[in-house]
Amino acid sequence: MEDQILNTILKDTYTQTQLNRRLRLLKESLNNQFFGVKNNLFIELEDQNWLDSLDKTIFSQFSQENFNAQFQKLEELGKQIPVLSLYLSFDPPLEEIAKLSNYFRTNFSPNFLFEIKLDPNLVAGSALVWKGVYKDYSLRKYIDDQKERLISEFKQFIK
Amino acid sequence: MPEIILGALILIIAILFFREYYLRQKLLKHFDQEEAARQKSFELIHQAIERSQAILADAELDSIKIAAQNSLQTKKYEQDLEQKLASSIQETSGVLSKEESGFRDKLQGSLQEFAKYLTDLKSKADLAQQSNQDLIKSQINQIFEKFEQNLADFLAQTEQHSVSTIDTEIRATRQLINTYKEEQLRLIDENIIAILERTLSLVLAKKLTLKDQVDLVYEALEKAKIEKFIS
Repeated sequence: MEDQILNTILKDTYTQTQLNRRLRLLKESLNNQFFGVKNNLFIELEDQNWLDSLDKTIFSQFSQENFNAQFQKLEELGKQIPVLSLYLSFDPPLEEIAKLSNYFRTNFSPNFLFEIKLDPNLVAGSALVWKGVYKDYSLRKYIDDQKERLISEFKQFIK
Repeated sequence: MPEIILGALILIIAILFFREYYLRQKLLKHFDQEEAARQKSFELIHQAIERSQAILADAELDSIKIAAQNSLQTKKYEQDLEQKLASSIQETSGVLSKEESGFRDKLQGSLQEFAKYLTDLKSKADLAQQSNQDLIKSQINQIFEKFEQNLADFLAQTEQHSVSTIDTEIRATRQLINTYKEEQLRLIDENIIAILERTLSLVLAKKLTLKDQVDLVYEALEKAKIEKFIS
């Protein structure tokens, strides 16, 4: 049951930050619903839209009794999903993030999550961190690899 | 019975009386003989004393005679001895004068020989001094030659050492310069790359469109996929 809820949430959730925020939104919304506890989280329009877009059957799967246990399992499942750190030299718009997520979920795993991190020194392209291993596929790395050739050509140009 | 005992007693007493009488007579006779003998011995002692006195008087006379004879004999011996000593001294002085003249001659000869010896010795000493001077001169010359040779060797070695040290220093300095040069060139190269990266970053940020950027990201992801970096 928790898998089904998580899959539903992951449909339009692409990054780990998004997943964490949305799980908290859902938790606080249900907490308010079941126990009348006021939300501590500042809910933006985008957050409210997402909550409104959720299938109502998801809410029916929670009750006052199973609320805590269900959410604990849900959070544990969310933590088990491996996350790719994607270093970019620019800040991509949401559409591109969705496209990237689609690419990852098509090519690697249907519940693929990633985290975008900005590094302007990359010049262009990207660098990745997967399961603690860093790999640079950026233009900076290409320039470093071609350093000797570039320097010699630069020196010839100076002469 | 008592008459018998009385008679016996009287007999015994008479016997004892006669016996005592006989013994006393015998003792008196013996005393007389002893007195005669003592008298005789006194006479003998007196005779002996007289004879010994006579002998002593003879002995004194003999000793006086002998002393006089001795004194006379001693004077005679002294005179003989003086005569013999005088003759002996005379003979000895003759011998001594002879010996003295001989000794003088010998001394004169010895002095002449000694003077000759001294002359020879002086000439030998002069020769030895000359020889020593020559030897010292020769040795000093050798020492100077050796010193000059050593000094020349030392100077040559010092020069060689200095040249070697200077060469080493020059090599070390060249090495240092080369290292510095290489380090500076490496820094320049790194600076070139840094400038290139910075320039490209600035230029590409303005020149590359979002599509170009995204295309490059997908290109990178494709590479990662081919390399199976993400599994």
